[in-house]
Amino acid sequence: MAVACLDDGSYKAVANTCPHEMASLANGRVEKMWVSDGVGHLRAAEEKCVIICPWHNFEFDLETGRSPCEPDRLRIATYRAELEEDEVVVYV
Amino acid sequence: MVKIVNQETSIPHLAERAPVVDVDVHEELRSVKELVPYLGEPWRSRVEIADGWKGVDRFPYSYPQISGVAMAEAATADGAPAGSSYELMREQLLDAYGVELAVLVSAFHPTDMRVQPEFATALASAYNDWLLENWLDKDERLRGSVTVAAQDPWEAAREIDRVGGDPRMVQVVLPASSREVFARSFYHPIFEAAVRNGLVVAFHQSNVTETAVGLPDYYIEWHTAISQAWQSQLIGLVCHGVFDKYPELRVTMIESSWTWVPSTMWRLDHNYRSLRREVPWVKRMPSSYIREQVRFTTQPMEYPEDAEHLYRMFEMIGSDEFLLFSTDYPHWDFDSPQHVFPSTFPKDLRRQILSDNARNFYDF
Repeated sequence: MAVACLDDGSYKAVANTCPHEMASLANGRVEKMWVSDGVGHLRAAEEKCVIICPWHNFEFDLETGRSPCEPDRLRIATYRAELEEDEVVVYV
Repeated sequence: MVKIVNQETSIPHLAERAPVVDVDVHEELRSVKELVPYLGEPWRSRVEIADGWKGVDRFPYSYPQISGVAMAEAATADGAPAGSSYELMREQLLDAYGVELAVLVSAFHPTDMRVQPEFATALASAYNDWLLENWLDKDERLRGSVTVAAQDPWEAAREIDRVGGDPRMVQVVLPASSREVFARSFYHPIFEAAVRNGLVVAFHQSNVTETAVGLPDYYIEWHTAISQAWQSQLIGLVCHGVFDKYPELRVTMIESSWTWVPSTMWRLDHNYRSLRREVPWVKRMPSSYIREQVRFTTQPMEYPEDAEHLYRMFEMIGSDEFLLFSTDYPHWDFDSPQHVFPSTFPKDLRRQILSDNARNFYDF
């Protein structure tokens, strides 16, 4: 399991294994998802974060676990994670 | 000379009398001087004068084929380019094979001119008028391609608007360039004008198309490797978001060969999974745009040792609509509609490729 702490202090938990070649997602990076309003324009989405696999850079939406490229075909499990007092609790 | 007493081929022949729509037929100017009546000044004089302009870039290779670029019977006794006679085309192609519709694809590409863009634009316009008067007016079976000078995309768009409304014009033709990616936003007025006029945009090689290593020594190297030019144009159309920006756009890759399509789709899809962040304006898997908005032509057909492998390409690409029949008349590697298909292609599929796919895509 990979647990991410976001800028707003919230936590997200996802399965740690990339479905592509089984890399550990915890070795990757969490970032705002890059989106566009038109050709040539890039914008970091405020509302969406993705975890990027350390191998091949596949992306997964931290909220849904789905790949932005193939949301119906490629996804990882997501879990509710909460900061409770001084512990991060993941509900499975 | 050796006399041929028995012609045999290992390629399976199947008698066909299905309707034929041919989407790659080449009309040719006898000489650039044929454009003189269609040019205004100052360009007319520059072509008309005795030792004036000679034409767009010439093809760099000598041809090892027995009749040069022509199929032998289409070569003319007086040395005029094959494809410059409508009467011969009618006899050898339209009537001979029962072609219901033939899309003329110009081999005249002012886009390839690296100088005098206004002259290039005037030549494109003159060529279109010449095409209408000397070809499309002569035979109801003929359809035309709008020639443009893409180096000035706004002028090219104006030309598309000028002649693209003629119902016999069915596409805009661009050279499969190895110098320039036409998907760049600079060229978008051309795609926009094509969509506005309900025209397909087609890519076909030109005299200046090169390979990934430029111009290799031998014609056989060039002829084998130039598919790279169409691949680069196609990948560009996806990655520059042209299909997203113009969802009604239809593109035909003519004479590119087509057996490379599955591997290009797989590679581009895989790279999109990894590199979407660079081009987030591309909203869907690249292969889905290709499957929905792009078509390829049969000629030059390829023949793997096991013909079943060719048939499996349809499963790999995930569509039986992507392929349109073409002869490439009058060129040396002409494919016959009666004999081109391997026996592994079911009859219904052959009929679809020979006619239905083009009719649906071009809205014939």
